[in-house]
Amino acid sequence: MADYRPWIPDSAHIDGVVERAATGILQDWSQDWFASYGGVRLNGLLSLRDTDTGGGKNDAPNAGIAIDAPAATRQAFADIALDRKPGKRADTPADRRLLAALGDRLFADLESRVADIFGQPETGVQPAAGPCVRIPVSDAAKRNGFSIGISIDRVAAFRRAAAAQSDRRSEPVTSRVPIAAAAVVDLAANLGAARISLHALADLEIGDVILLDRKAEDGVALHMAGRPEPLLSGHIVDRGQNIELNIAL
Amino acid sequence: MTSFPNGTDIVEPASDTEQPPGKNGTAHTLAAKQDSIFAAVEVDIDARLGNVSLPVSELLALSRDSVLTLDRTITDPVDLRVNGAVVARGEIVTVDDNFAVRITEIVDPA
Repeated sequence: MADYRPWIPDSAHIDGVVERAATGILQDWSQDWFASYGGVRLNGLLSLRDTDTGGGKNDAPNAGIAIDAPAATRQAFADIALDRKPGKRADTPADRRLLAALGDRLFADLESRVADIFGQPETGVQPAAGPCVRIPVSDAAKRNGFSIGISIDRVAAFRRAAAAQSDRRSEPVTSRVPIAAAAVVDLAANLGAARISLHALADLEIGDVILLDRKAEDGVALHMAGRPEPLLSGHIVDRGQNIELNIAL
Repeated sequence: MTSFPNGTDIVEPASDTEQPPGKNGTAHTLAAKQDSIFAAVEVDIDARLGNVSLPVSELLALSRDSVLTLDRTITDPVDLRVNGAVVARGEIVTVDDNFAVRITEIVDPA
């Protein structure tokens, strides 16, 4: 490990990364950035993934932001945490705990600012096991350090915010974020919900009727990316084929 | 849960007046209190009619009376989901002006 040098992100570069995440992500949209991600969960927001082996099992399903890091970067974090000289390698559970703690500290600023932009993850509600956008990050010497993976729903939330901001400015969104306009979003049509006891749930039988909380006259609620508040509503149109919803806004 | 004369059960939202299980001092494990726990713990169950994917440009262009086509037909059953997992399917009905779902299939969690 003759040329081993710890990789340490500098705050100015992190500023650039966050700015890129905030404004450049829509312009730099690329299918190449989509990737399944998994990794070692550090906490509810961040996870590290070993990019040397192409990632491991997906045990960070609820992390909102994933950091893909090669072994050298992860080792550097461990070295710093242990205050030991570079090259003295170890990969023990204690190391991993320190790595996690250090990861929290090193990325606290980045985490908070990215979270400000993309929102906090909804722990246990919105698994991020699906595709995510990856933002490669290099250090001041242009060496690859890690990449940040942000789940698609976070990006979708950012797009909605950008669209709302554009609307307030009375500017057509498509003129400002043309690539975002081509991105595809998923909407879920929900009839409503009910809160029932586990006892009632366990006793459900064919023929039982679940009474929902939504008036039929209010139509069907359309939700985006698992968000609790409906984006739109619509009324069912029966034309004998697929269900069509007449949008009521 | 209430029953209609025809035998149909209506599962209504859990009552706020239901009390959590008390300490009776007789149970050695919580399993012995399963019934009272099951009666006290509530879950949200939602009814999913279908989904639709569309570009952001089309989403932003939606206006009143626009039409969105879902990925289900009118004859497809509605999914009843708990924490995103489908637990049952059924057909749309209305009860007291509200949407409701009559269960036609219980989904095996396995």
